[in-house]
Amino acid sequence: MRSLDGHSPLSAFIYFMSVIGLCMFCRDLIISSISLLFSVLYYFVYGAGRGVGFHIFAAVFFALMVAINPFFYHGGSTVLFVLGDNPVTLEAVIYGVSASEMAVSVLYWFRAFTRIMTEDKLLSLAGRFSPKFSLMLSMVVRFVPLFARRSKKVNDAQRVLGAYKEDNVVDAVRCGARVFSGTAGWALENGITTADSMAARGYGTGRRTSFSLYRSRAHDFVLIALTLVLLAGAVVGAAAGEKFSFYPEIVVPGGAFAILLYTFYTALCATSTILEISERARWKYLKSKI
Amino acid sequence: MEILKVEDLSFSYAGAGSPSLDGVSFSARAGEIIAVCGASGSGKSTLLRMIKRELIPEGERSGDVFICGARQSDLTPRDAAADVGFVFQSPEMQIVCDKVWHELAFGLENLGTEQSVIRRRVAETASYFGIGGIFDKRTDELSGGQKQLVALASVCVMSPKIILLDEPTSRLDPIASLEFVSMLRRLSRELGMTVIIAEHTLGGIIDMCDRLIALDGGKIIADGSPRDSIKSLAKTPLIYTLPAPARVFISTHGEGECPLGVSEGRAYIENNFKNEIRSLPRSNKSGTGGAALEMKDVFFRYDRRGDDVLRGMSLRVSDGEIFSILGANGSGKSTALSVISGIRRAYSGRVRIFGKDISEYKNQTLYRGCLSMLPQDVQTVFLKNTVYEELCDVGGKDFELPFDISHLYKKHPYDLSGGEQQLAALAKVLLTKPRLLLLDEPTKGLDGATKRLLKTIISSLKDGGTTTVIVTHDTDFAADISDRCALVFSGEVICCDDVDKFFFESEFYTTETSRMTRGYYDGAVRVDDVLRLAEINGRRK
Repeated sequence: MRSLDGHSPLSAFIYFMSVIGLCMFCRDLIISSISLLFSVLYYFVYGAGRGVGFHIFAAVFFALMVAINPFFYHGGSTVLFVLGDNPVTLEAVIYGVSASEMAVSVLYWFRAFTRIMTEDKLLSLAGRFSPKFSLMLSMVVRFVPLFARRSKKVNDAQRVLGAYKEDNVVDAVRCGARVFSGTAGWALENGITTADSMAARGYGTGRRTSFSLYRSRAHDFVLIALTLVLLAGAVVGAAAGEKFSFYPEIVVPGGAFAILLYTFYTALCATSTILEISERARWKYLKSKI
Repeated sequence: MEILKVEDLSFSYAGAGSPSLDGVSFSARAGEIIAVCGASGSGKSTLLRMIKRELIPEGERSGDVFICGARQSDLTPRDAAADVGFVFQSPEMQIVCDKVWHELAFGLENLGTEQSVIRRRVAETASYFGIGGIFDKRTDELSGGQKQLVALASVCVMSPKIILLDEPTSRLDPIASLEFVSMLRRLSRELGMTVIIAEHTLGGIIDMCDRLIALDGGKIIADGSPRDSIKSLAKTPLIYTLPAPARVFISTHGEGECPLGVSEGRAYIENNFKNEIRSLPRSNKSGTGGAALEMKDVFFRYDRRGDDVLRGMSLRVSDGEIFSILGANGSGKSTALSVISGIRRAYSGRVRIFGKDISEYKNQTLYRGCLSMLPQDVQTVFLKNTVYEELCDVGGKDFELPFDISHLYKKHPYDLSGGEQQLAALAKVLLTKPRLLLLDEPTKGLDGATKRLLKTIISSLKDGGTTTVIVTHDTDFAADISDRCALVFSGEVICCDDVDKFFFESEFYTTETSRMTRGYYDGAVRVDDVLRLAEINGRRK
């Protein structure tokens, strides 16, 4: 089995959207807990980031979200304590936990998503839907750093020409604005060359295709099929079974459909981590054979 | 087989009085390399654009163009796009996509080609051009030479029959130009593509061309093999862009085959002129005045974790001198200029401008009447809508220039030709009244006439007491204008000498003339030196 990195953009995209989408649409403490557990696990297994900054941010964000809900919503039957004139209820706290779990897990999923879905992959994905849109994105992606570098160059040139009169903030802002407008002028003037270059290579002569470096292989279809089956099972479970309810008191749904939802969603969330670990293991095995 | 036929083609731009092209006729066979030369404004670019249907400018046109026997206007849009490729001057702006592989696929995507076909063509092209190593790179991170190579590859992917190139090497350094030009030769020799290249510096391309067409005022003034065509350039400013051997041949009214390379030139001189007097009296030019610029053990790096770009560079430029810094790409020449100009700070070592440490120039005083720089990319100098506003911006309402560009005042800076832009930017730089003038590659992409004008301007500034430091690849220019030269290698000044001594003692990094006459004449580093020596010694009987 290959990790998500080795799959085509489409299959990775479908996977992430299923995991995130289901988590966002089910107001369910168990679903959000599963999602949080596996998103954090996958984050570490994949190695999506090194610094602790992101985790601190996530923890603070989580704590704040949990804290805020009970102070603004006072429904629920189990009063924990009374703050001022307002009761703080267990149900409101649990709801807060579930909502924050959902939000934080989505943060973690997206963090991994952006590492896996590089620009190239996103563009090739966009190209499947609209070759023109994908081209436009590609041009924008190219243009932004070009513009930044250019504006630095213009700034240097202007500085040596004495455009900055003195070392102060007002002057810096005034001159910065001039540099920006100068750079924008350059972009517009030279855009004509880009347009000529596009026309010269047949842009607009007919229907465009979109070339992508990524091809879909057998394992991509397997992943897509697996994702869709798990997603479908979970959706059926969520739609047909009882709902998780927070107010007036917490009711955890039981029955076959609820079990279907939870097991299938767990399997879906775990897929990314399992793929990653199995690929690692395969490499280790191959290495030991060498 | 006749691939291209241009029949009595005339064209005038909408609103322009005189025609840009006037009765141009020629044809090209498959696999031919044709250089189209001419001064700025002679109609080279217009001619190329007339052959590429998508790029025909607005205006009045007569005559006809046939591509592979078919009238240009009868081609289908797909054939018109695929059969004729066009490479522009600016490597930066002709690239459309963010990644190299995407840029290569761009043309085929436009034609609606199938995935599997694109995959194959892109892979083949990348291998042929040897750009497999940068296939996954972002296009904005490439060097100028790589960008131009990608631009060429992304045209060749569509298997064109004709490739038109509009001054493709004018923004490249000599090494990158050489690589680019040798690629063109391969395309013609191995794939049979017809290559038509417009250039005003003939030096680098002339020996691989099958034909040379010279344009003047929109008319063809010469069309034939390079050796023949060159002879009719004797009275045009284009002579200054010819290789040194050809210039010597023409200036001495040589007969027979015109020499193009160094060894041919050497043979021509040895067979025709005596060498009883081997050298000219040398004037000592080394600087003696106070120091305008001193660098002492300067170390610089762009990134804390990166490598040193300047490694203990030391340099002294005397007041009133013209000093040239030469060296390969990436040797730290331009970085040295940015440290001297105060844009970047050395992390160790001292930089002194007119005896005062650069850090003591507070409040931008360094840039008021003291130091100024003409950057390599002169378009960065312009911020306004007309040249006149541009100049007023620095010089106030009534400014005075050491040279006349009043015919350009009303134009937009971006509408000027490369040479005109260079002059306008230099004018703006000079209006800050610098005592120390820094020029970064001032001759890049200039035609012969503008280059000569630039020389006069710099010499007249020297007479006015300005010190000039020039960073350049152009050995001929440096030999003509400098008092002293320095060679920079890997962030250090390797040698620094009086100009004649510098070029005479360099084996490789020297002028073509010096290589051609070495051992026969001593210290002849310029074409003029050779001509004088030849005259003094007289012809062999």
